Amino acid sequence: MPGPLVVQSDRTLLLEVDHDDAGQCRIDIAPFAELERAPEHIHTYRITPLGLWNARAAGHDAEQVVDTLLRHSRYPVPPSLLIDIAETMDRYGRLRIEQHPTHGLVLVSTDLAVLTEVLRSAKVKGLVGSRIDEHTVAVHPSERGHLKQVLLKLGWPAEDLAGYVDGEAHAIELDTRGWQLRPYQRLAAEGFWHGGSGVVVLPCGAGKTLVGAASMALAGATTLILVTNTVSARQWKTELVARTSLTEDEIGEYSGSKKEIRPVTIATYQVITTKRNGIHPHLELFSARDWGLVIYDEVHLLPAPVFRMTADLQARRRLGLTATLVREDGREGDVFSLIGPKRFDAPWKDIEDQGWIAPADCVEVRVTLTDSERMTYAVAEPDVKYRLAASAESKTEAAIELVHAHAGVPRLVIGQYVDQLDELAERLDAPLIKGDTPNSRRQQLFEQFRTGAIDLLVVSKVANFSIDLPSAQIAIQVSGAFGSRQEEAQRLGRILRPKADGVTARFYAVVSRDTVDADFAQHRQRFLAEQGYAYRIIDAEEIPG
Amino acid sequence: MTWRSYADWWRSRSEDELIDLVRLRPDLAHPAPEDLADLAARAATPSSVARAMRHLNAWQLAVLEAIVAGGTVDDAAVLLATDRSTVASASADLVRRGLVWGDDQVVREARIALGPTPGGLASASAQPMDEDRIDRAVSDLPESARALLDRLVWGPPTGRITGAANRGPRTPVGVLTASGLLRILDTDTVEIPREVAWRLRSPRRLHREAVSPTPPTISSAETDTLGLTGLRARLSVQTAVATATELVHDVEACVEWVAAQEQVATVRDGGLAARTVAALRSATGLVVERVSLCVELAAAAGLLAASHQVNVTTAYDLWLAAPMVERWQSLVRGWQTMSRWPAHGIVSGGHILGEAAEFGPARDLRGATLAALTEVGPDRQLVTARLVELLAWQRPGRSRMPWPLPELVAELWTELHAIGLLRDEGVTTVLLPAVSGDVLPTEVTAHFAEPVAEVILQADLTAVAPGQLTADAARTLRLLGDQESRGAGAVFRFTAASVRRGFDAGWSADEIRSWLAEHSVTPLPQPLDYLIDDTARLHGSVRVGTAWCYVRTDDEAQAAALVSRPEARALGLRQIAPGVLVADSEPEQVVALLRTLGLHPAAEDAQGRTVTAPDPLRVAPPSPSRAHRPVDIDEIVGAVLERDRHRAAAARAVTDALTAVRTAHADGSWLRLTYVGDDGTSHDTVARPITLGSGIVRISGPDGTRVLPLARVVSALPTGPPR
Repeated sequence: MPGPLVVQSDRTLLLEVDHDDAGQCRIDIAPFAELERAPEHIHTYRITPLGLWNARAAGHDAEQVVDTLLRHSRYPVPPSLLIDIAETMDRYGRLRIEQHPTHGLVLVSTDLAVLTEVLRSAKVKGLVGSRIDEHTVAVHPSERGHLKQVLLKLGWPAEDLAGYVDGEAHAIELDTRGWQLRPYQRLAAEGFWHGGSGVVVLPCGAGKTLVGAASMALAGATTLILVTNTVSARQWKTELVARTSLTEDEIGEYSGSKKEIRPVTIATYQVITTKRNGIHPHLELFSARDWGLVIYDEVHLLPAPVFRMTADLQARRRLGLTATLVREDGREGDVFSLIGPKRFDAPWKDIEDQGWIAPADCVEVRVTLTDSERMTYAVAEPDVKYRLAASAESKTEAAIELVHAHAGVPRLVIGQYVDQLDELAERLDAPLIKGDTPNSRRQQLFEQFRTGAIDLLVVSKVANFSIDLPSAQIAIQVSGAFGSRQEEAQRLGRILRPKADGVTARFYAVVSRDTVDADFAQHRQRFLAEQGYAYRIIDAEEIPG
Repeated sequence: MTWRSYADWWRSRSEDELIDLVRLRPDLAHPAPEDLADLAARAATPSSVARAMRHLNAWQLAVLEAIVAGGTVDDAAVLLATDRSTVASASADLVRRGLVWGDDQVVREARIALGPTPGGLASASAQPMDEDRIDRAVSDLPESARALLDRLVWGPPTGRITGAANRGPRTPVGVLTASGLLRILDTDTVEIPREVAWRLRSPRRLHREAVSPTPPTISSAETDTLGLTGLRARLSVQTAVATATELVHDVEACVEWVAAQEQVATVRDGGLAARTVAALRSATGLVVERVSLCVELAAAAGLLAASHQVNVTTAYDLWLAAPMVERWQSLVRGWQTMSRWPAHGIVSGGHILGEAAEFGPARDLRGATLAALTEVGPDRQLVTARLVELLAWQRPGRSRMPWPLPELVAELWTELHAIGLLRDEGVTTVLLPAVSGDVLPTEVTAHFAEPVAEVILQADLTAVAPGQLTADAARTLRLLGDQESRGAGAVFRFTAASVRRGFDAGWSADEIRSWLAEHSVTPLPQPLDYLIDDTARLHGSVRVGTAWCYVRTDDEAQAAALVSRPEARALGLRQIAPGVLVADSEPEQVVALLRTLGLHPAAEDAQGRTVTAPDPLRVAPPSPSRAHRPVDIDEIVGAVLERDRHRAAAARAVTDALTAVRTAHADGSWLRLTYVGDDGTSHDTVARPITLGSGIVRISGPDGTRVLPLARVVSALPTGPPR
C-alpha cells in the first residue's frame, strides 16, 4: 500500500491525514519537519536546515530521517534531496563548544577542514582566542553566544556541550495537591532538562506556565522569568504561588511599577529593553543574582535587545516557551543558537484530541456595508481605507447582534480601534479594557470575568498576549491588526481553554464585505484553516437571533 | 608487388575495400569523387588525413607512428615491444583507412603530421654503432654526460647547446661526441643517434608511457554486483525514476517561469543575464548549476527558443501533455544531441544559453561515455578516473582540448546523475533503453506514478494533487490557482486573482464549481465556494467594450421594442443595460432609422451635448474669376515708375563716383571715398587716385596706399587735402 507522504522537491512534505498510517507517519516526521499548515485533509510539513539541526540536537540521525521519508513516501524520493538532508544534518555537531580542563571554554572539531573554514571567516576572528592544538581553539567565555550565532549563520551550527553553572540553589517543589502535571507537560519539562537549554513549543492554553514551574522544580535554583507584560507577570506569580512551594515573598516583580529582585524574579520584556540615554539601565537584573535558570515566555516575541543580552547568558540554563517557532521577523535562527534548539513539540490537534484544550469553531461574519458607507469607503484615501472598513457602523451592529444572540454565556469582544470599542461598550453597557485602563482595574475585571460575575467584556489589543481568560466561550473580533498570524494564535488562545461542560468555543470575526478588511480576513481564514480549525462563512443576516 | 602511386594502389583494391574506406572516412564522399584518382588524391590531402587521424584510437596512432619510425610492421612490432600479430591487425585497420598502403608505406601527410622524429628517434644512422660499443661507451661516461644523454633518450632526439661544436673535449658534449654517443649537427645543435637512444631506452619501446592495445575498462575488477546494502539497496530501483521525475519538474519550473515573464531578453551572446538567472533561481529555488542544466535541456528539447529573447515554444504544450516517461525521454534525447556544455555557461564571463556553453565535442564526449556505460551495464561499480583514461585512449585528441578531460568527465558525471542515468557509482537500469530510444521496460515505467486527475480541496483554499496530475487537470488548475509546491505531488492555491484569471479565460462560476467538484475527492469547501462567488460577483461589475454610438431612453419598453426590430439588428443595435443600447453603425444611420420608426431622437455629440438640427445645406458662393476683376492702372504705372526711379538713382551714384575718380586722377585732387573692403564691409577714406586703368585704381592718402577695383567704389566725393 502506498504511503501517506508525498515528498516534494521544494522540501515540503504533504501528509494525507485520512491515510491509515498517517498517525505513525506524523509521529515519525515530527522531529525534523515543521508543521506548516494543517487543514482538514492534507497537512504540509517543511524540512529546513534549522529543523534538521533541531532533530539532530534531539538525538535523531540522518539515516533515521531518510529511512522515515523512504518508508512513508508514496513515490520514489529524489536522491538529491536525501543526500542534501544527510549533508545538512551532518553539519551539526562537527563543531562543539566544550569545557577544557585547563584552557576553559574551547571550540573543538575533529574535522580540520571545517574548523579551518570557520576560523578563516572574518566574523569568527574576534570571538575566538589562540589555537590550542590542531583541533582546538580557545573561545572567549563572553562570546559563547555570539560564536554560536555566527557559526549558525555560516552553516556549521555548534553543539554546546560546555555545560551550565548551577546557580544559587533555591528549593522549589511542585505542590500537586488537587492537580497533576499532564503527561505532555512532564515530557516537555524533562525534554528540556536533559537537553540543557532549549525551547518547548506548546499551543496557547496547553499550560506552558506549568512546564516552566516543573522546570524550575527540576533546576531547584533561583530563576529569572521574562514575560511580555505586567498582566502576564502577575498571572505567572499567581500560578507559581498556587502550584509550587514558592510563597509570595519569594517571587519578585520587576516591571515599570515595581523593581523587586527575589529568588524568583519575573520581569517584563518592556522594562528590560527600556533605554535611557542610550543605555539599558535594567541590564543589571541579569547579574543581580546567580540565576540557575532563565525562562523566556512567548519566545517568538523576544525583542532583539534581549537576544543580545541572552548572548552573554550562555552559561545559564535557558528555557523558551512558545506556541510557535515562527517569528514575524524571521529570527528563528537566533532562538536556535541563543536560547537553544527545540526540545519538545506537540501539535495543537493532538493536545486538543486528548481533551486538554477545547476545540474551536471559527465563523467569519460578512457584513454588507450600507450604500453611504460604501461611498465613503470608495472615495477614501488608501491609508485610511482599512480603518474605515474595519470600524464601519454596520460591523458594530452585527457585533451587537452577535452579543445578544449568545446572551448568558461568557463573551469577549475584541477590537483594535478605541472609538469603535468605546461605542460598543457603551451600547452594550459592558466594561471596557483599553490601553489607558489601570492595571488594578484590568486585574479586577479579568477576575470578575473569570469568576462569572460579569459575562461580557470589551477588550482592545492589550488583551492579546498572555492573559488567561479560560472561561470565555464566545470571542467576537470586530477589528484586528492586518491579519497577523501571531495575533490570530493569541486571540484563539483566549478561548481555547477547555470548558468545564465541554462546550465548543466559538470565534467570530466580523468582516466588511468587498473591502480591504475582507482581504485581511483571507489571511486569517488561511491561518485558521491551516491550523485545522473548522472555518465557516456566514452573512450578517444569518446571525442566529 | 609494387605500385607506382597511392592511386595505383587504390586501383588494386576490391570494391568492398573501397566501400569500407568511404564508410570509415565519410568526408571522402562529400562531394562525390570523380574517379579513383580523385578519391586517392582526396584521401591524401592534409585535411582528410588529419581528420582520419583524429578518429584513430591511441593504439592505432601508436602503430602508425611506429610504422613511420620503423619503416615496416615488423620493425613497428619491435618498437612497440609487442608481438607482430597485434601490430599487424592494427596495421590492417590503418590500411582499411587508407593511411598505410602498399608495402607498409604511410601516407605522406600522415608522416608530416607525426613530426620529423616519430617515436622521438632520429633517422637511421649511415653507420650505426653496434650494441657492444654503445654499452662500453656508456659505462665509461661521467655522470654529467650521462645526464645530458638521458634527456635526449625519449626524444626529441635533438637538443640545442650553444657552441656545442666548440666545447672542449672534457665537457660532457665533448666526451659524448668523442665516444660517438652524440652527433654534432651544427654549431649549436646535437643529436642522439637512433641506435644509441634505442639501446638506452628501458623498457625498449616507442614511448615512455606504454600504450595498451586494448581499451581500459571503466568498471572495477570485481565482477560481483554493487555491494548494495541498507539504504542504497532500497534506493537503487527507484533512484533513477525519482531523479528523472525531479528533472522533469525542475525543467518545467524553469520553463513556467519564462512563460510567466513578460519578456526574457538575452544578452549580447544570446545567453541569460545574471539578473535573469538570479530571478529564476529565487523563483525556482534551484542552484545555479541546476538552473543551467534545466534551461539548456529545455532549449535542447525544443521547449524554449532563444534568439533576442527567450520564448516558450508550442512543443512545450505537447511535452506537458505527454506522460512523465516520455517527457523525461525527450529531455534525455535533447541532452544526447546537444552540442552544448551547461557547466560552461555558468563560469565567469559565460551565460546560460550563451556562446560560452557552445562546445563542439560535447556530442562526441556524451556519445562515447554513454557507449562505454552501456557496455558496462548496471550493477557494476564504475571508476570515474578510468573513464578519463578510456576517453583519452579512444581519441587521444580529447586530452588536448581547451578544458582538461578529467574536469569535463566530472561535469559529465554530474549531468548523468542529474538526468538519472547514473546512481552512486553505477549505471541505472534505465540507461540502456533510455539512450537507445527504446521503449522503457514496464518494470521501469511502473515506477513512474500513474497520473491522477483528482485533487483534494481544502478549506485553506488549496488543492493538493497527491501525485502527478494529468496534463488537462494540471493546466486547468494552473489557470484557476497558483502553484505553490511542485514535486511528486502539487499544491495549488486559489486566490481572488487566480479565480478571476479563470473568469477572464471564459469560465463561469458554475463551470469552475462543477469542474472542481468533478475533479475533487472531497466536497467543495465553503470558503472556496465563497471565494468563487465573491470573485464572480465582482468580476465584470465594470465592463468595457467598443461601440460606434449609443441610444439611451428612459422608456425601457421602448428600448425593448427597438431591439426586437429586424432593421435594428442590421445596424448592430443591442441592449447593454436598462434603457441603454449600443449600435455598430454611424449615428446618422441610427437617427434615420429611429425617425422611420416614428421616434423622435435627439443626437448627442462626443461630449454628451445635444446637437441641434443643422442649418439647411448651403454651399459658399463661387468667387469671381480673375478676368472680371477691376484694375487700377494708375497704381500699376505708378509702381513701375517708382521701381525704375530707384534703379536709375543707384546707377547714377556709381557713374558719378567713377566720373569723380577719373576727374581727381586727372587733376591730382583729393576724394572722400567709400568702398567695400576685402572683408565685405564698407570703409571710408580720404585719398588721391595715383594710377587708373584696367578697372583698378591705386589710391594714396594718410591711410597709406592701396589698390582698389573700381567696382568696389561705392561713392567718391571731391574734398580738400587732409590736414
